[in-house]
Amino acid sequence: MTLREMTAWTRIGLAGAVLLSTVWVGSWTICEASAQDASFTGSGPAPKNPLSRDAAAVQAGRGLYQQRCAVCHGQDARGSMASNLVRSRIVARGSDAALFRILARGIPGTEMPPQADLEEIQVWQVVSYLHGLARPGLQPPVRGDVDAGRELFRAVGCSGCHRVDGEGGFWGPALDSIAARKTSEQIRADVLEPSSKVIEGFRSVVAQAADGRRIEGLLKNQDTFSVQILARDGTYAFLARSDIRVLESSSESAMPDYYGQTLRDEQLQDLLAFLDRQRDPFVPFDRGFQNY
Amino acid sequence: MPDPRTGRRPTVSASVHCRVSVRAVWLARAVPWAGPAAAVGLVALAVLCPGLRAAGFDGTAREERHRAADNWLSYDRDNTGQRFSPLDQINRSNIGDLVVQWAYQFHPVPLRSEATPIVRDGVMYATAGGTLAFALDATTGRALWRFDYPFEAQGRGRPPDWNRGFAISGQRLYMGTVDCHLVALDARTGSLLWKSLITEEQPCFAATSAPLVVRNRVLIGVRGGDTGRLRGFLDAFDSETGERAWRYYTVPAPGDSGSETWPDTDAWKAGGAAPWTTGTYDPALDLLYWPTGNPGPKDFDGRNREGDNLYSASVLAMRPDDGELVWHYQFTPHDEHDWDANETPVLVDAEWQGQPRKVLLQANRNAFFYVLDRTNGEFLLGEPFARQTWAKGISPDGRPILNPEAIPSLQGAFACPDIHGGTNWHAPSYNPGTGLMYVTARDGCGVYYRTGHSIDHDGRPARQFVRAIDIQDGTTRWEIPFLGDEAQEINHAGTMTTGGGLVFFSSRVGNFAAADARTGEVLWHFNTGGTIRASPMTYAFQGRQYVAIVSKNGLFTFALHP
Repeated sequence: MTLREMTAWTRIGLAGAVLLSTVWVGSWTICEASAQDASFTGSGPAPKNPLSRDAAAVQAGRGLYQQRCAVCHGQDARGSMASNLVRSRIVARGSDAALFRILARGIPGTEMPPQADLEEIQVWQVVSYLHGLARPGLQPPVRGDVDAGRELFRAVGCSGCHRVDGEGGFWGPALDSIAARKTSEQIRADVLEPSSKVIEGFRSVVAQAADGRRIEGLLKNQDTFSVQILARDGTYAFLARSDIRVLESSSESAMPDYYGQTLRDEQLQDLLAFLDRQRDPFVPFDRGFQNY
Repeated sequence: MPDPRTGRRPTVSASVHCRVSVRAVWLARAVPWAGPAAAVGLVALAVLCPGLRAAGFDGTAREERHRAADNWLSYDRDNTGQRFSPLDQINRSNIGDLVVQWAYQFHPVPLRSEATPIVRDGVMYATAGGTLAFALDATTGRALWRFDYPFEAQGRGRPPDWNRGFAISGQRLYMGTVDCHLVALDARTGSLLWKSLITEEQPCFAATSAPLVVRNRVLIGVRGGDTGRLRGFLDAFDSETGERAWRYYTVPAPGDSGSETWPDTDAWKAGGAAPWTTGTYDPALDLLYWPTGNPGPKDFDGRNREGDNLYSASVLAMRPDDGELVWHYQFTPHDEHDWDANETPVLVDAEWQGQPRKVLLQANRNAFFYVLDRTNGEFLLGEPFARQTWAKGISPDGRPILNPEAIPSLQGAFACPDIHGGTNWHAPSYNPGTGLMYVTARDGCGVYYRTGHSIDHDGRPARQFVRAIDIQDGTTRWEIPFLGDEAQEINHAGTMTTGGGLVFFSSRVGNFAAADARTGEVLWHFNTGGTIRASPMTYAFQGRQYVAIVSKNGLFTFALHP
């Protein structure tokens, strides 16, 4: 079929596909192309990952990632100078082999260098780490007493703010899908150091309005012209920037940071095992502007 | 605030005081009773307000009454189905100053957007398509949360990707879904509280209507009456737990009352009568009014379902606590034209033909406008409001006098209205100040075969209108004809009317417009740039009135230029 023989829609589709592949997933196309001509050793069949996704391999891969990759792709792999790997199509959906080839050969024509000085096994470790990040569901389940963890979730106050299975408070994010979105490592970090990363939409804020009112709550949304705050009683306050004298948002999470001290090791393990079972595919909350 | 009857604009200093009193007069005339959600405030306002001007009143009570008038708490605003808001800041004299305040765009782009947003205390809750839901700051349109329902695929093909919005009770929002669940969300955060399967024991063809909340019951029906596979039903769920409280099958089983209107076969098992739109509720009579769709198994060929086919194409008066059927009225017995009766049963207390009456009004898809006594279902009036040839009239006992030539046949039978009906599911509205009901109407005809239908315009193309029906005698007081590209295309955009003496309506090609509720003079219009397939609403917050409409990929909100 020549271009002339194509229907208008086919042509538009083709043009769109070309545009998409060159602009949007340029790097992906390039690496796919390079992956087709050669494997790590330059020829032969596609390599297979010799590692099971065991914790040791993931841990080693994480160390390597921090040394070599984090400077461009960010400490949490969510992008900085270079792309967000957690959301990357090739990381989330590509094969182990495709990711392996990119690491080994780099992406010609971009800043992504080949990791030529790494041992082959080390490359696989990084692959295991990255795939674990993007596909937390592939991780082995966290060991611990899930029922005891469920009880702790209530007893130590988590359910005062967090909802699971329709039960619990509204002050923190609902956790029904937490383990589908985060690795067990990340969940552990969130429990022990809640302030290391406060989720936007759940940041504590105090606004002093020009008319003297003081509004306290969670900063659900803000832009150049307006601010939306959820108060403890569940009502919303809307303020124009021009009506705000001071807006103080906290860098600390509203969540207590003492669980590392107050929970015994096995209790923490039980709680994490319970949270690890929360893999409902429902996305319980999403800030409105993220959809663009 | 201008007087809604004269349109005169009083001085600015008088406006706050005057707004309360104007509302009171309108309300006292309009809604001496009202739906329970908006009702407390409204009833108090209606009862107390005439005395307020002289007596002075307590500020807190005033605030609450204002708030009740400001909100739009269900698909039709309140449970009367009137879609009348007493708000009058935007009115006939200043409508020319109405400008866009904000817009919110839907992503991903839904197949259809049919929802009416609801607003409570300055927060707007809306749905888009069949899966997206969100809460917005109603003054700026900034999102507070967003929920994307990951439906379970039902067979192949794109599911019916639309619903008509939320119901609200306390901190819970309720939404029907494409996979036939009733979903409850936390109104504060948008997180999922529970989901309950609606279609137990029946196939699923989506729950597209906005639910209705009555006390601790959430009511919702399903679509699918055209599939030849559904026995229609209305479900009631517990508003807190999501447990099913009762189910009422709109097609009786053999032996049950009404089963004598079906043949002695299995036809009833696919008898249709789907209640696929939202009903209304009268708290004083404690009666729900729910309309039903066409009978099955075949829409246009009734030979295997001889009889009236109760309770298809009917309105059912039921008890919300247990689903007991108190009375019914069937608009189109043995329907063979796919004329669902799923238009809003509008509840009005008015002086009707010289007597104070509790009436139920419906502009039906079969092109007749009906007035029933809603205490007992007595037929009072049935007059055509759009072109029709299928009946020679409605006899005094409420039964249509059929034109046998309009009955579908092998060779095809010419009949008006066409398959789209004299109107359809999109919302009508009623203004107690004018006594008029505003209906998006269609004059069109078609040829009906036993196997289907083709639109045949009889040499004359179908025409679309907004018509104002006088509820006293069913006559059309005025009409606004749509022109050009929107003259013929079926228009599924509803109407809304206000204390400002306005009626809002929309068109197929995306024009959103307002007319004088008394005369039909078009006073304002705006091109939203996308098909409008929804009905408008209005609300106020912090002393400012807004009007909103959903249009294809987005939601537009308007207010007076400050």
